[in-house]
Amino acid sequence: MSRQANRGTESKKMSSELFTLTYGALVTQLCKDYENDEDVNKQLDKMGYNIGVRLIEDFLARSNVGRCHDFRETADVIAKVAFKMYLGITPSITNWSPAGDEFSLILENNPLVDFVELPDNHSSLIYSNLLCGVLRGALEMVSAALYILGHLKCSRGLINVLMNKREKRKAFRLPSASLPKMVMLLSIGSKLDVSMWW
Amino acid sequence: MTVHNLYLFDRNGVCLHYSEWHRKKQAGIPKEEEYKLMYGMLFSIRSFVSKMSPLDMKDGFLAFQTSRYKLHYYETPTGIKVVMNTDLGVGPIRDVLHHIYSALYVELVVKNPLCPLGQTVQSELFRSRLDSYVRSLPFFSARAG
Repeated sequence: MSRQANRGTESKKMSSELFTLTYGALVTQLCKDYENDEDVNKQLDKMGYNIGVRLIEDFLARSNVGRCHDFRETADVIAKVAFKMYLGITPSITNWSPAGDEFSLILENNPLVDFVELPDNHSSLIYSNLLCGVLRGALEMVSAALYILGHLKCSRGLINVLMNKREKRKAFRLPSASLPKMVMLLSIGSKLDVSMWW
Repeated sequence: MTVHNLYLFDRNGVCLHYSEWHRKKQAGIPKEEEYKLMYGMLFSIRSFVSKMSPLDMKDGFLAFQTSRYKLHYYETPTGIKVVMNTDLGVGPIRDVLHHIYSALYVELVVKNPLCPLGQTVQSELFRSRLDSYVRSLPFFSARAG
């Protein structure tokens, strides 16, 4: 009971370095536990997904945001409210598709990768794939996104996370859940390589 | 003024939690059936209300009342539904239902990794906190019926 009592609704301050290093230790351990990068990516996505389906409830309880009316509003809430609340950054939203059903989020200063330089033998590792999983889980609970898949290219500290659609989810239970598919691009670094889209 | 009972549903219609305080007459059907009936009614009334609305809906369906009781409804974008039946003297209690969601359900169930989502809540802490919160409400009175 006492543990619950001292947990207030206000967020406590925590060292961002501790957070970054903890995440790094997690990814390192996963790299040791799994043979190839694909499995690590999958695992990170799964962990993120499980975080996301619970985190969305916390987000709604704290932010008092209602249901979004269109996809642009969804993008704004993700970037300006959610990322701000949990990571303290505001990614920029770009690359809107003409139909308005795809966009990219660019994380200029992703706190997860502060000290990270991926070695050459982990070229296909999607280091921040946890974030993709969190978004996928959270958006699935509010029926906004159909499928988000992360891809990251990494060369010497320059990290581009490219998320792409893979397949549409088969069926929706909720009648109001008609928001379109979503493609995201998370990028650390200066330049976006458009040729990486497929 | 008093509180009769409270239902908590998830997005798939599973009754996560049910508790009652001053409910003198039961529905006369098994509890499982009652939950289904309640969820089905809410589902229909929700879509009916939004279809009939002459203007753009904001919060949607909030409450209805009969000659004997009032049903208060609160829904989150994730589809968690909090339903509380009270007597007729109780005004809008949206903030109360929001508090049950944000300070009790989210804090004690969602953030508890040992509580699986989408199933009946087993947490004793959640039950007792909810009970004491409802009992502490200004319109909760043991005398009234």
